[in-house]
Amino acid sequence: MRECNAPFYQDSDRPTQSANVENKGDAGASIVSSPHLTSPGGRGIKQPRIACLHVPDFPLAAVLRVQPDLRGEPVVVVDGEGTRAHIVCVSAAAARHGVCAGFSVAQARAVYADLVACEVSTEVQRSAQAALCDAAESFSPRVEDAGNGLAYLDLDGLGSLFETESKLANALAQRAAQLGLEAQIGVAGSKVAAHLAARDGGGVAVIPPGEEWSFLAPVPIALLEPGRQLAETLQLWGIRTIGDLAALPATAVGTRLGPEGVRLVARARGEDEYSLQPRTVPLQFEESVDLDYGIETIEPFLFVLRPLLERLVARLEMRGLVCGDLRLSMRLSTRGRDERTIIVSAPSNDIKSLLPLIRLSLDAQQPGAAVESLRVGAVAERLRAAQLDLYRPNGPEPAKLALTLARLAAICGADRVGAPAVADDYRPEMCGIESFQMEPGVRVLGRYGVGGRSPQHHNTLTPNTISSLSLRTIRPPQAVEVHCQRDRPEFVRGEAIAGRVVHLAGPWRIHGRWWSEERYARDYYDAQLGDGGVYRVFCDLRSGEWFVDGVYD
Amino acid sequence: MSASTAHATSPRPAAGVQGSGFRVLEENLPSPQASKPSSPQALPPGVHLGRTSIEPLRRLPSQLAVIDDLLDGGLPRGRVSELVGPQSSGKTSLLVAFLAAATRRSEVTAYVDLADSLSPASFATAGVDLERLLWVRPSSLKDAVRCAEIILQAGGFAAVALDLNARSSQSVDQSSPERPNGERSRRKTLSAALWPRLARAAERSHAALIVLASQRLTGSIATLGLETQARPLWGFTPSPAYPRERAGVRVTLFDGFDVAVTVARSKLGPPGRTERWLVVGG
Repeated sequence: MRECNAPFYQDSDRPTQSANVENKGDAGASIVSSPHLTSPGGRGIKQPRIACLHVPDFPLAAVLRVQPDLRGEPVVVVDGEGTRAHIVCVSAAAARHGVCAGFSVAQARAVYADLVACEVSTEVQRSAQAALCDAAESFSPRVEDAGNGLAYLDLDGLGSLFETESKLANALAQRAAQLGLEAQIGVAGSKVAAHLAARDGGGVAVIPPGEEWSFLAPVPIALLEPGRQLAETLQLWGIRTIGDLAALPATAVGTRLGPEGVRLVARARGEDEYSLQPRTVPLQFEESVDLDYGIETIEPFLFVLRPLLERLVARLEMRGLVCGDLRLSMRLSTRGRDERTIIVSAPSNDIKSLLPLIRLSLDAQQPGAAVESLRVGAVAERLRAAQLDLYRPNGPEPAKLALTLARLAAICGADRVGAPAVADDYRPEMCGIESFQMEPGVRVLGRYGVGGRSPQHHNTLTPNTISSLSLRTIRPPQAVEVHCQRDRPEFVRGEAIAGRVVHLAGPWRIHGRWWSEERYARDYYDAQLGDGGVYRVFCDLRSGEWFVDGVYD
Repeated sequence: MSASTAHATSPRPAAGVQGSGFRVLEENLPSPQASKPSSPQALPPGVHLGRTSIEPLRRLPSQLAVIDDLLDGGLPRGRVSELVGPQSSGKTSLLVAFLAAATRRSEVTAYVDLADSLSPASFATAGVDLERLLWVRPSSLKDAVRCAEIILQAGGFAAVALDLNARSSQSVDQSSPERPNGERSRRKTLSAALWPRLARAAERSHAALIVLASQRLTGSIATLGLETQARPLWGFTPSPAYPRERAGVRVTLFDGFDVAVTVARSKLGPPGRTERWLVVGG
């Protein structure tokens, strides 16, 4: 870790250091100084401290994050197809064998035949970038996503958590490593300086306040990544270090090198083009992987899925969140996509409870073709602390119950498992089934329901030698043949019912939904037949047909 | 070898001569009678004789005094109980009474409904807290048994009702050769290993597995078997508080059942007791 003590600005043409000073170069470029810079020895406003997380060779790092078994192997990342395919990143092992970025695949294999070539994957890089930001956001919510393996973190307020910035930087590096990324950390008073420190520091670099100059002055100018023509010009001028470039007068640079040169000089001086812009906290976390070959069976699919879930859960845990509903998006070999949502009734980060839910969903509805790429997204939820009740008996564990409900739904169908609900309908055979909730407001299973709930009636019969009569419903109502005498049923015959009516009560007329096609009008009877059974029979007044829809038991 | 009734506080080593050594050994050994505790209370803590369980059997009460007295507190938890009876015999009402009492105590119950005959309105009127009742509607006998096993394995349920009653429309004379008895054919399709497996699952989960059927299905596995018979009540007024009048005219209605429940088999006590209670419409 490098540190130095000299002040940063030594050029007499440097801009006045005061808050929010806007300098305009000769070329009209607008440069906003880093706010709150303090002049040496003055009572200034607090200087910001920025940490930069930089993942070198980001495409390669993203691949190694997904395939950690390739670490240490001669791996190259290839972009493009066919004859245009070229290498964008090489691992250290490949570089030792003489393979360089820019080679074609054929050239690289000619140099070293046993290369492992991986294609550039935007999905994998996006997941890796998100993971990098998650690692940063686990320290502070003010994180700027600069893309391509770069993230900036505002360290304001973290002084109470870490004794020194060195410890904080090391913790950042470890947190990124937990998510599979080897990040270089730089801490300085501006984003540019922190970025340069990260790239040049060799792991972790902390520039004390006001000492950016002495720290960065000897750094080669190539780290600023100037354009090719500009680099050649500076080379001709003998400008080789950042210190040399920062010492150039801005007015002259603007005249000779244009706006690009002015921006380069500003960066050399550690001036940010814009202040840190925090990103909004994402509500959904995603991990994806491109498969080398299509997977058709479930077991290998789950084997591939497990590391994705583990990375997802690691990111959620780092943010203090838990995994809610899962969204699976699978690209199939038939060029189609299979997208499904898996309800996680009891949010949890337990892989052992998430994998069976996914398996049940795949068993119930298979993708139909080989899966070539997979993306898993999780809806992040806050973990709720359940307040125990001393007087309430223990019920099923939420996670176990959610899995049980999923297994039952896989056997019977999702619309045939749940809590019964009284339908908002006068027809007795109508009923609803709703999500099974053990406590109000706690969602355990999704959302199949017909009608709403009506207020429940409690058994108020007393004394305790009398209980309430129950009815066994026949769904759907069974058509029967009824012989009537003087408009009263005398004999009932159906598929499995035959008998003379011994006792009869009724009719009670119900009718409803007169405004729709489902209008109904029925006359109900309670009939005891010769076999001793007591049935509920009704006559459909519209069709004149008779039905039996329940048995009292 | 005669048993010595004396016991030595400090056993002495056996002598060199075998005969005298045996005698010394006998004197040092406590007598068999003296080694047996005079009563179970004399056993050290945590030690019990044979397979005697030290945990009392918990019960699932119905909160109906006559039924709970008949069953010594209710249905046994962690065991299989069977409710058997013909059509309109009150067995479903009895089952609902147990479920209602359990849900009123904030316990969670489940109902595996093979016949899809559950009436939410009827259950709600009987006092069942529908939010604490898991309703599962399988389409086959095999699925019904599998669902019951899954629910028992999950644990946390006070009662799991497995309704294997024939479709309520199949109320034919069971002696008729023309129409096979649905229950008998079901019994033949249930494997012999099924009920012991369910019984073990119920024991592990401490849930009362209640099998509802029109004929006995569980064989010797059920700890408790109840049979119900009912007499329909027409024009019956259970008490002056429940008159049956409409528009000032007294009408004859179907009011419920006079149910007789008999303990047909029991591993917990003598069978044969019968009690009666009323099941009336709400």
